[in-house]
Amino acid sequence: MKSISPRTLRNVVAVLFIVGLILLSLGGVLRPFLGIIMGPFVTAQRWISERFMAVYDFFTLPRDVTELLQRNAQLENEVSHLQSQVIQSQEQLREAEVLYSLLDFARSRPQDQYIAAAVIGKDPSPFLHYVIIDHGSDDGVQYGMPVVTQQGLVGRVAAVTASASRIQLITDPESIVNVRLQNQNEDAQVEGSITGDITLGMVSQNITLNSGDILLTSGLGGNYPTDILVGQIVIVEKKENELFQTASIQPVIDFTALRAVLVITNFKTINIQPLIPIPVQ
Amino acid sequence: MISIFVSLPIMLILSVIQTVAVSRVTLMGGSADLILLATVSWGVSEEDSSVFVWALVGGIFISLISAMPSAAVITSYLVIAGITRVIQIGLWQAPILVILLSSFIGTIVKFIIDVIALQFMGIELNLYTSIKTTLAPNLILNLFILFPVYLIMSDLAKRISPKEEYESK
Repeated sequence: MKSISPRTLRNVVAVLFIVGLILLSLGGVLRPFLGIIMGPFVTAQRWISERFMAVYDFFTLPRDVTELLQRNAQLENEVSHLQSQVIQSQEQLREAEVLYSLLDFARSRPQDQYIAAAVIGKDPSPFLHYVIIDHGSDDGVQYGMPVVTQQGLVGRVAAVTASASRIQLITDPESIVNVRLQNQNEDAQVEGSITGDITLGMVSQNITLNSGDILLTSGLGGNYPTDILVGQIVIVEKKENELFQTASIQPVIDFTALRAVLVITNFKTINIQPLIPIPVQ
Repeated sequence: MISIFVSLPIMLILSVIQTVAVSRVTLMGGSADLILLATVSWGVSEEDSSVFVWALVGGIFISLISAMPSAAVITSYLVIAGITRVIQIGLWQAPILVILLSSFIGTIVKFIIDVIALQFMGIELNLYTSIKTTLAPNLILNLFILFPVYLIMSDLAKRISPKEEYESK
């Protein structure tokens, strides 16, 4: 009988020992023992892992933050771009509404020809009431042409350059508009003032004025077409010792918010100055 | 010499801003006057007679836009430039005081010249109402934007002719 070599015997013992350890481990017999041995390893692993992750984060996280910041900036840019587009659209919508209403007005008076113009400035003098529009003689605008909006009378062209014009508003202290009372068919005059208020004058004491009465252009004097809305009476001032009564007028147009106007181009102003008799000295 | 040429675009831009924006921002009946403030600021920043050229250029631009008589507009800005020079010579060590006094007196002088011009135009006005609704708001609004305008103009003056820096070195 062949004898077992010591090396083989050692291997068999080692295998049996390992198998025994595995069986004991599977059976849970070695758990306390393994816990004692593995504890320091786990602690060391956790410590190393935490440090490693900190270092890893140090190198990787800033890149993520940068990316996020870039993305955030990009989105903010997009938002601001969209916001500006919204504002632009709102502005265009408002302009379109103004132009549509001007167009409606123009359609309601087919006998007149119009040029639509944008208000681009205001006279720097606080005493005078003029606005600047973006159309001039190159566009067919001429001195004296009446200017209106869909609401009513604005004024008349007072000065013209090739590409812009200056409009004298009816609130200007030098402005006088011949008007008639809609209900009573009585002629009168509306005058501007330094403060921008307009006043009805040259009304006989026999006429009864009421607040709310509507004033339309009469066409007398040849400066404005007839039947354009000017305003309505607010307060009547009637003094017994004066020849005429006066009244404060609320204009139909808000001159501070004037954005676009229509210049009536086919209305020819008439200079009646030569017809006025000169008083003999 | 450069300052004279620079006055053309600067005053043109200021005139446009005045017409488009500043004149529309009103308090009662008054509004700020950028040209007046720019003239005063330039007079304080640049201690020479170029302020008269700035006043003349500003006056010409405004008279092209405004319905006020050109002579009145140009004269008022030239007088303001003169007032600024006189105060500046007297109080050269206190530029803030100079600019405050010049703009205050300048606004009043411009109001007086405007009122005289309106009388010549045949426009009636109640002086008390005009002071209350135009002059007082003008003074307040000018005071509001005086220092921003002064800062811009003094910076511009330093860029155009940096003589003070050479002197200090």
